[in-house]
Amino acid sequence: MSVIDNLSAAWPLVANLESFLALFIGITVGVVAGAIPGMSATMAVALTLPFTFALQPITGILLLLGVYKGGIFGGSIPAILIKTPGTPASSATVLDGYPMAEKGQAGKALTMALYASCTADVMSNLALILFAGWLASFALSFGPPEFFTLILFSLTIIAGVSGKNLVLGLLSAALGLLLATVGLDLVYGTNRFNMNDPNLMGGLNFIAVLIGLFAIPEILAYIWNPQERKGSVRSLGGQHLSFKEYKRCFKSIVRGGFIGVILGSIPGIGAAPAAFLSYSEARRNSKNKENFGKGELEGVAASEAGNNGVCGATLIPLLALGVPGDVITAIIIGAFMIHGLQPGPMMFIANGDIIYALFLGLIISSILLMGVGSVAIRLFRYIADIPRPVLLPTVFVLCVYGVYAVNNNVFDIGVMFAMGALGYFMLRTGIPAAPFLIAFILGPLLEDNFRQAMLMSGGSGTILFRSPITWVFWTLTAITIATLVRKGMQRK
Amino acid sequence: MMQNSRISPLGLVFIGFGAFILLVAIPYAVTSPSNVQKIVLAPTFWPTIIGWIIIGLGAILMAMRFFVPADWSSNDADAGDGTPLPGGWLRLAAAGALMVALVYVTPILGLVWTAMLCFVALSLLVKSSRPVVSLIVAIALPLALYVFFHHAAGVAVPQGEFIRLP
Repeated sequence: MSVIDNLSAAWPLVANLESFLALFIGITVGVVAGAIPGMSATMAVALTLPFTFALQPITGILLLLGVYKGGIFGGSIPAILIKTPGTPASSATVLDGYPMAEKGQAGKALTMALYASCTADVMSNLALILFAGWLASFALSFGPPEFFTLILFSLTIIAGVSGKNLVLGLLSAALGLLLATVGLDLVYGTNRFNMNDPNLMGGLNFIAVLIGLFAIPEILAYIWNPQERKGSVRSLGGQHLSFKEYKRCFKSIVRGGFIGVILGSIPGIGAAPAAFLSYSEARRNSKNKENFGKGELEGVAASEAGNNGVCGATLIPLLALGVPGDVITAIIIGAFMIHGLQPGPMMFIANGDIIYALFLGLIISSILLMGVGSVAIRLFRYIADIPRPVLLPTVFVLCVYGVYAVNNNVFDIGVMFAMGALGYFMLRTGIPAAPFLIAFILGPLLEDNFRQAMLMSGGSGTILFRSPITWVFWTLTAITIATLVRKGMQRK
Repeated sequence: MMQNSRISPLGLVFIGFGAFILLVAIPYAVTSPSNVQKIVLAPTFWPTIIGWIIIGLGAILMAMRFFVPADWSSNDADAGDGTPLPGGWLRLAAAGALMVALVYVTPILGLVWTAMLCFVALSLLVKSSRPVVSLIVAIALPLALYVFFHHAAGVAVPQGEFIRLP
């Protein structure tokens, strides 16, 4: 089918009230969650996931994508108004956003953040539409050995989410890989770490692991130290953004959008580095470089364009190869699986209409983000005032209901609490949780493809080097590892 | 922030955990058929590799004590804002007990009532400054979620043995 045919088939899936409502609610939830310090886009997507079970696959996934996009923008609101980034992606926005708020230009900074976000978002969506199909058609020729080497390379994305200590990140990933082996063996169907318990035969529930790792530790951290956030909310001020100012920053927005697209399409880099790179490039090329850090509008535009440019692009490896680009897309890949869809090249053939409906939905979401974002900017004072002693028990109850709803099983709630305890231990010891989740998702795929390749070759490892594609991935993996080791040596 | 002095014991913990996986967990909890021809296809192969990786990384973590500067610190361990309030361990233990209780009480009381009680207990635990708001949300939220999941999503929310909801 051509692109036009696919778009025609996809249009009815997305041009209905249910899909628009899903996008609208998703963006609203995302913006609100992103704007609440202590919540995050990741937690918001994780908590929304159980609410998608009752929806059609396309509606549910649009809801999650709305939360993702809204969450990334929402993080910029507290970054500008209270100098506290709602998400790590908004860290660069603080640099010029808060000084602008101090000067009484918070409204102008927030409007610029919104316009830059939406502009970069459109660019990112267009990149997704242009490149995902092309990459997927290339990946159709992959067999188990090629997929094994691809997933092995993708595991190096753990380096990007490991924080300062790569070894702790790798240990976290090893734990994720280990927990992914719980259940029945893929080839022989024998027991692996399941203690003959029927609840564990199918492995650990993904949602229970996800929510346990990302939401419960935050609740426990608050119980450990139940203190309210300090600091006051700046007023929006009377100054509004003019078209001339938007035009002045347009070059930085486009540059930031491109940086976001490029970094977003590479698994593991994420939105925060894209925002900082976009910011530093804008400062390097700006006529007002001495104003950067003191409340320069172009700085806000560049950082927001950088982090939102990532959103659509992270879906390129997800949809084309079935490989998550970051933690949030790892959650979204889980959502696809729960709805009976397997992202990857075959999805473009089997469910092309759903893929193109997602593309259309993403474009619509950029327009909706503009409307929801404008309102959220004005209502932030009320969002920021939600007391944490009410918010965190609310999150707790949402977690319990959400996890139960997956399999109608109280056992899963127990798994979530156990994972929460592990997640809190990891939080206290500085072990990052993101590599755990990514390895937990990629682990079964890695093992499955490895064993399929071994079955094909009768146990000979040479099959893992059978084609130029495998060689490319082996080389990329080797280069990534060598770079990481070199960076580690330089740090010493 | 976690200093090197805390990294080493963590390395030791992971070496011990890896050894436990290889020596106890895999032999007792992973069943491998006797007719497996190639070791790479055995159900024990993958967990064994992971066990060795954990031991290797634990050893690297321990070695870091000697090769990494003393002021080196690991990823930020952000376990709360500012100076912690006293009684943290007690509150954590209470939260743990609450979670265990929730799993066992849910089949008896039902999810809605258990969730309400848990909300109230958590609010008491963190000494909510807005008890009235907390109480309203404690009642309204589990009910609203029950309506959504039971009536809209078709989830069989546990009703318990005492009070049944429509």
